[in-house]
Amino acid sequence: MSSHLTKRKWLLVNGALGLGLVATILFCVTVGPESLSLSHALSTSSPGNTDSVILLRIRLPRVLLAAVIGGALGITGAALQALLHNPLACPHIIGVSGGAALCGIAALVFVGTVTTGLTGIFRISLISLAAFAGALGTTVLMYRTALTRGRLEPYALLLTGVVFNAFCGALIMLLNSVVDFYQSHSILFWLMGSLAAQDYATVGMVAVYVLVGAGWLIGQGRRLNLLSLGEEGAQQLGVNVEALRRGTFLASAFLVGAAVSVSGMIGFVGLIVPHLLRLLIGADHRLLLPASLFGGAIFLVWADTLARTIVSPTELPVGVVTAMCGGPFFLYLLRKTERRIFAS
Amino acid sequence: MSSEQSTVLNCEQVSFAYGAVEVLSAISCEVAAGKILGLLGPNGSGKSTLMRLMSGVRVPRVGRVIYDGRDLRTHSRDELARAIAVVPQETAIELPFSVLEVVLMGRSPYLGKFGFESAHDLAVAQQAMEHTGVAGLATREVHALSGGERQRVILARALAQEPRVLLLDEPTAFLDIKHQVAVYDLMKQLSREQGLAVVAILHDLNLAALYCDRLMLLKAGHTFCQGTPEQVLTYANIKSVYETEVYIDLNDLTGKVQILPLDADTRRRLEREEPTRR
Repeated sequence: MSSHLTKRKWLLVNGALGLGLVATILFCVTVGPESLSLSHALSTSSPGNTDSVILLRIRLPRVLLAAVIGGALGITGAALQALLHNPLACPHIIGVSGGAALCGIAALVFVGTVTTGLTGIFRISLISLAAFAGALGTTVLMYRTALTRGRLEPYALLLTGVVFNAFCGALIMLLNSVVDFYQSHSILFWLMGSLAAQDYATVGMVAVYVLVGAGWLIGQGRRLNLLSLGEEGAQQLGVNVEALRRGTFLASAFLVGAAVSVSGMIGFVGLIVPHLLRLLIGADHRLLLPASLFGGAIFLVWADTLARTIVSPTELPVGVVTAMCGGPFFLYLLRKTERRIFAS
Repeated sequence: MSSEQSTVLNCEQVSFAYGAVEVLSAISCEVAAGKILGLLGPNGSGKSTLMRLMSGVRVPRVGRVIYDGRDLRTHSRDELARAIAVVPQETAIELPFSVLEVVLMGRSPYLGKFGFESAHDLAVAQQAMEHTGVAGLATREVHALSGGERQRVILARALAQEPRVLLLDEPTAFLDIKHQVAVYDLMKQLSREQGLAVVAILHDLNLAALYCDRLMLLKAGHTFCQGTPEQVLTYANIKSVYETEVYIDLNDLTGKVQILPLDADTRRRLEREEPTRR
């Protein structure tokens, strides 16, 4: 591939990833404890077809939700890495997911499942709002902490994220110890991350939020590229850095908040996906952002398929699968980045 | 002299403070097309801040910076980015962009929101890379380059902006002598041939004498003096601003002022002989 982005490359890569996503979805809905064939499940001739019920009521919404959440986490990781000049940043590692989960759980425990009275895709519960506020608050807090004399300290950011995650974890455990069994079960769901038991309305609602947030981010691709020249460098090339930073924070919190509020904490997608894609297609965010949306979707659909089949008939929380991939991957990246920083 | 006509950028009585600490007070200077202006002064004398005011990254508390006859603040961001380019001391790029991609970033102010670079943009970038001698590195990743190579990539990126004013903040601090000279030779060539106005912060007084048309000496946020290198680089000025003894001479080959630092032993010997020597 050429060493810079062309329109042809943009269309080719996104087209290929789009097709890959469709193929992934079509394949993964057939995989499960009941292996079924698409043609049989979709044939209208036999009413009360159990294959059709499993496919349309259980597997398809779950696979679609995995795609939406994975896309949100993938693109947010890519955007945060650009914003923080740090290839190790991802919503999970810098504590944004943890903050979202903590606030969501706090709302669950103290407020309960109160809704705002709106319906359809606007059916936002207070829990989702709390998760969004938690994501936003944590992002701002992390950024302010890591900013010393106008410069971002990458390692300060990672350390703060680790400490903040531990802190959130402790508070969640505190809440967990004072609630009843049913709430405790919900808390477990937030902590481990799960894509199970969601209906089309929820999938549709999250999809709308994700498309709005992702669409805005993709529009900032060129500006996010310039940010890698440093904040003054970007400013001198015509970027309103302050506005870009605020917008990216807001969009990231929006995406992570939406994702965490329906599926809990699913880690490392935002770390693994943009990094692998960068190796394949380069660092230009005009392409990397949409590619991370597709790539995150593909990755999480496969991870969830693995989660629900590997120990069949029971299933693993999908967060366990992504962490199994992501933990070692993070260590590898850290080693690699460290060597470069200390070598220069 | 027709220096009034060729003025591209000028600072009118600009002052600036970070919080309560005033770092620049009432500085005025003119940057002329086709000329190189050198900013000199000890660490912390306000050179970099003055450059930030010139590039529009910071806005003066008092006074104005005028580009093309109008206050910098009345120009749009993209307009300024097409007119003024900056090369900082060092740029750390953490993400694996290729050299060509970084140089093409200089074309950004010429692109639309979702725009891709045109054949013209590529040609400009290619020429900029040839100017700074990094065309052979086009496909390499920037963060794998040496400091000197990376700095020449950043310089190429600045040239790709096709600016009228080029601001250099100690651009050769991390370069060896060959590349230092190459960078300033290029600056001289571009200013002569294309009328580029150059402002450079320098620590090396000899390079300043060799390449700059005018110099401005700053001390603690004030203009100590400005003028031609011969007017500015005198024993008395240097002693007063840098608080150190130097040896000054005219170089036979270049015809320019040359300045040598003196070690403690020599300074002590001079002190004993002071009345007779000077």
